[in-house]
Amino acid sequence: MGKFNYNELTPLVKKVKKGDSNAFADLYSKTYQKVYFFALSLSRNEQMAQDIVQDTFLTALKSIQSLNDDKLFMAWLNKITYNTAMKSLGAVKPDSIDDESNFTEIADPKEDNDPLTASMRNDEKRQIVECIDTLPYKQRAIILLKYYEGLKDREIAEAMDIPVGTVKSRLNSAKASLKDALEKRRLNG
Amino acid sequence: MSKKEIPISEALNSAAKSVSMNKDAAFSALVGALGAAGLSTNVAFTASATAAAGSVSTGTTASTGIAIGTTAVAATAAICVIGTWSPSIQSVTYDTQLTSQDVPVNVHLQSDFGISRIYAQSSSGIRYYGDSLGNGDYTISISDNGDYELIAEANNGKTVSQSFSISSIDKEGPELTNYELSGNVLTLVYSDAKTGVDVTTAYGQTGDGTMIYPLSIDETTGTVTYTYPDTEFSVYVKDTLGNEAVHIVTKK
Repeated sequence: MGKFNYNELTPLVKKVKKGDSNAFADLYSKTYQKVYFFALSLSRNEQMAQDIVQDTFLTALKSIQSLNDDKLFMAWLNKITYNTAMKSLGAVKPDSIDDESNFTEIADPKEDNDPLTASMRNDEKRQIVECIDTLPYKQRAIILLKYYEGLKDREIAEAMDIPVGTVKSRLNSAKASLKDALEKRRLNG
Repeated sequence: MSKKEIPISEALNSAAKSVSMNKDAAFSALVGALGAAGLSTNVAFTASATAAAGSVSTGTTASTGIAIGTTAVAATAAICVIGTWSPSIQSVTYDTQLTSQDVPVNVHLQSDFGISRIYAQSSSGIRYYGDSLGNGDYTISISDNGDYELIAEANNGKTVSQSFSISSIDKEGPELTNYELSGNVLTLVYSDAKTGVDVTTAYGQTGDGTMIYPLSIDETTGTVTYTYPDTEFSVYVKDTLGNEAVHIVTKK
């Protein structure tokens, strides 16, 4: 199956701004599953993730005219998703989240009910995802934006409202934490 | 730990393929968003049942065959949704202070998504079309007093309307309510019901361009006197908004 490029979204965004409902339908259908996965990865709660998807697209629908660079639609949508998720998780300011302590109830998934890995085979990939799940929010979000959404550093910076330098350092920290978590898991298992 | 790179992308994409927002949830999220935006939720929806995640690198994403294959279905359903909603007028505001200029009427719609045009129609059928300012804001320039119907039309033909009235426009100069020629002194009395007469602006001019200045003015009564120049001449005066009235004085 062929690939679609994010650049394909740009003309759709332009059409949506002109009120083209067909284009909006295309945008939604091309992006809502990715938004859902990102939301689920951050919230680790299916119901909350669904609410985040709804709120994200509502915000996008209402403020599409404020998107200055149509080429950055996906980064903009990720930013909305990220901020919506942080808001849903009870964080007034996303940058105030430094650890898992505020989210004990939903940030401690058991292997059997982790919505991200429930249907994955118990192999290396599953272990990686489970270890990603143990990372602090900021590190997890940056891992997702980098390795799942495939965003460039400047796009991640835009999505998370942080400097590019912080993106790089946070990414290095996240990868180091992930390596440590995997190492511990292998030693224990 | 070896120096082998952790296959993070592969792991996440594998997880993404095992995770999908189900049909009902996708429908609910879309309808919820549209409903919260003031759009109709009376829809039928058939959504993709697949996770549309893909292996991502340098800004591109590989989409699964199912994801691409169901795009049209999702799009069609969404079009059905959008096809039933109507615009929503949130506010209509304008200045009510008297003015000699057109009145800008500010309109805010809940969303300008799908709006084809917005206009105000007078009771006599004259239409004034609005200009979009973005983010649901529009401005319509109204040039005459009267009762209007504000109408917002969507691309799907749905309309919504709201009535408003404009009575603050004054583009008329003062009215000449009385005049008298006594000897060679011409007395003119002006009035302006809305704003008052600014008799300090009064002057006259003959056909050859000769200026005739008032002998006297009375701001209280709106009275201006001239020495009649024994020829036809025009007299000018403005109201306090700057609307000028011109009258031609001829001795019979």
